[in-house]
Amino acid sequence: MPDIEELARRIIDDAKTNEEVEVVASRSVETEIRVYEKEVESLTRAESKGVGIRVVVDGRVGFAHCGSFDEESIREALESARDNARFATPDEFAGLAEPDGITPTPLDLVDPDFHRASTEEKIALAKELEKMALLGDSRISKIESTDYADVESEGFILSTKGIKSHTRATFAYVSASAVANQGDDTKTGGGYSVARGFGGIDLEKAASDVVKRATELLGAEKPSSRRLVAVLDPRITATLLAIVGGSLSADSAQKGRSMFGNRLGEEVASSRFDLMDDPTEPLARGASQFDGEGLACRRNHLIKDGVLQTFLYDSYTARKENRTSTASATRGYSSTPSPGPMALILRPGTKSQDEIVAEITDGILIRSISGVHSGVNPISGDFSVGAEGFLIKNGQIASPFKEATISSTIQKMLMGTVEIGSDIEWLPGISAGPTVAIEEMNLSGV
Amino acid sequence: MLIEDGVLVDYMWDRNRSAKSDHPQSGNGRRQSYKHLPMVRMTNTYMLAGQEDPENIISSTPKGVYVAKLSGGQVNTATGDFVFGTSEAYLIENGKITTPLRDTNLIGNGPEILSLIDAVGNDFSMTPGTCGKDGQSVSVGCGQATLRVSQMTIGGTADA
Repeated sequence: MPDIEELARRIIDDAKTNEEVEVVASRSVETEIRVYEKEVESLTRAESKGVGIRVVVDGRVGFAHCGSFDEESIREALESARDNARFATPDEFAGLAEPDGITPTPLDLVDPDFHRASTEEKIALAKELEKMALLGDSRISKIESTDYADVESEGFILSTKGIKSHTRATFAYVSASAVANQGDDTKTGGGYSVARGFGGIDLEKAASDVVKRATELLGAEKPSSRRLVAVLDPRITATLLAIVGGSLSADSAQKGRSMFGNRLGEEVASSRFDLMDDPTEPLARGASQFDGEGLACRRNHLIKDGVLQTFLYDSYTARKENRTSTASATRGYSSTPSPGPMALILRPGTKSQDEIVAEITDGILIRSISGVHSGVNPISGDFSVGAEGFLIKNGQIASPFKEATISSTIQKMLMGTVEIGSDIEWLPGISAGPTVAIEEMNLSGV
Repeated sequence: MLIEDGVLVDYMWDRNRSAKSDHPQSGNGRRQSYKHLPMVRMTNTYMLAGQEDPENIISSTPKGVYVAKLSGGQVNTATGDFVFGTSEAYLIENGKITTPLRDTNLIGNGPEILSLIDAVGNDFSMTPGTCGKDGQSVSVGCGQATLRVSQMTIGGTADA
């Protein structure tokens, strides 16, 4: 994006002496292919680009953005941001990020062969996955949808504070969802594979995941209600971590909307629990060299041996507490920054899932949950979601169960984490973790 | 009309699907914005009112839960399995609304639950909402009267 960067540089250089100016630009190109019954159901290419401009004058912040790289639109956005700043309420903590001298970790987030694969090859890949999933088990009656998608994105931030950051990343994934039948029973299940580019996609993994997840719970029954040990599959752990991570945003804590508010230095989880937000981990989907204010990303240890170490800060929330940013600003060009997790990672332990299950007398292995957005309150920590999976009897995986809810509070679940597995799974979200076992969960069925 | 006297009589259709199945269109092709492809979506979906006074439905329930407000939910359209979060619910004991319940989840299977409806009130009303499907959100309206489902699984919480 050299042209637009030149323009951004001029805007920064022309800033008035009493104003701070920040220019954020980004561009992404996404290809999405959906295949259904051996045919392309839809093929979408979407290019999205734009520039956001923040102006700070005497503690007043003005922001404007435009969905274009056109010079006239960008200059208009600059004038709008200046104008908007005049109407803003002064805030002593307002301001842009100051460079903090931390060098970015070199990260390889771009597949050099990203542009090699043709559209035909991408379609063929999706069709192949559909076929593999359909033939994977005779009980699979239909593949609901099969998708291939890839995206290339780049961006930069320049500011009058001397911030200068560039990011670039590529990403590709396939996913499929299957319907399986056995007698009157119908189940669905999905699988996927993610990589930095077309060449890294693992079709075998995606297909076996779809087949296994669609068929394994056929014949499931409602379980009887009781309190027991729940073993969460890595995907479920990741969902739990994302909820925890959201509550570790300094913004939530400062507004009194975090279940972890005023608990720094306290034991908030079992002593095995080590949670990091580490965008410098290249295997994480959220890996990035810079945060949304142009500071170098770094590993932030959030919970260490069960003790809460820090919240995640951007420069604004950090200034409010007279501390430094943890480089956790998240944003797109069309929004102002707010702090949040990018790559949550729960440090794996040493046991396999089988070894964890082997030690449980009465428990469940949860393979999927539903209703998370309506069933979890990230402020109080109340947790109640739909669950499916397997019963665990005397150390063995027993029959499948369905239509149950599991409930507790996030606080109790973190304290009650009795085992953490070795099987971390890298997912296309902001979090990744291994199998965990949590005691004292309430199972409601019949 | 989708369900008449408990019998499934039609689906919702967009142009694409109706052409494929040679079936009349129903005008249900909807999209979130110019960035999205249309798909078959609900618009204003409602269930007609019944005859019963809602007070009588509650007073004739010896043991149950009165759900005043749901906070959203999730449905697997292939299996019909659903969960819905409650944000305002109370116990019904001996025909009376008593203790409020903490936020929890209702879980079940759509077609099964529909067949377990044993009372429909006369207090029809519509509620606006947002429906999410395949990454697209659209505005929808839902309407129904007070309903009673004879049995359903409700989640407990750690302190309940």
